[in-house]
Amino acid sequence: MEERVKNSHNGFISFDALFSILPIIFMVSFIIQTMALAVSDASYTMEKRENFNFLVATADYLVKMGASKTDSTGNIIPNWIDSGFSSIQLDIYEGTGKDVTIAVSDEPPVDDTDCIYRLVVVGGSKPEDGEIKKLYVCG
Amino acid sequence: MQTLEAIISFTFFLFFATYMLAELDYKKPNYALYQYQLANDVWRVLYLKGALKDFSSTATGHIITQTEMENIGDMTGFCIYLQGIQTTNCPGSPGCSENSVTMNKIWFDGGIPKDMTFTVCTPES
Repeated sequence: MEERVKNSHNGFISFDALFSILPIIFMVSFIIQTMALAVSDASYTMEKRENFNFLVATADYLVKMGASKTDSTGNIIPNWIDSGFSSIQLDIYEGTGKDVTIAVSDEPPVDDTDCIYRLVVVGGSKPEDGEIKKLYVCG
Repeated sequence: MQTLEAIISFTFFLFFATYMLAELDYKKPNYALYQYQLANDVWRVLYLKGALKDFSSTATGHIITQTEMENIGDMTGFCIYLQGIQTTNCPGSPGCSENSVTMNKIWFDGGIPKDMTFTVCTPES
């Protein structure tokens, strides 16, 4: 009789432990998965943000210095540019190790990369003679 | 009693889990500087094209300014407001969305420097 009561008692403890441990396991696995997702998401967001900042800085450099034309006295005129960019793309690649595509167009020249644009005046012997265009920088 | 405890624990866990998941919405790249640069581009391009030269003194100058603003608006989808002379390429627009940049610019009206509020924004859809 005493043995039977003891066995019954052991069984009760096992079920009690089972119903306590299962939720804990679920919660721990949920937290681990959430943390993994958070780390992955943060890493992706950081990468995107870094790339966007790089494009913004590159476009600003192009508009204010890299691709800008100069007046008769040699002063740089921001936002007035020529449309040849192959040497500048090479300079940027050598300087930063990042490949960028620069183009004057109405639509983004590359589909599968991030692109930003700046407004510029292209060509002409004077800025008044140039055309207002979008300068795309993609990378 | 144990059922009540279980319900309370589960409810607390659900709140905690929801909070954790909501926190996953990290901030996207900060577009403020880029928007400011674009707004400055609009002003700069208008200036380079000579659209800000005679816009307050002659009717022709005003039309040139308006035409260039409409040209830029067509290209970019921006609404441009020159509030010093109440000129815009979006007359009757419902207003600006959150992405609005306003800055004070100095321009020369017949040789006299004047202050102008210049706004570039994406119109509300």
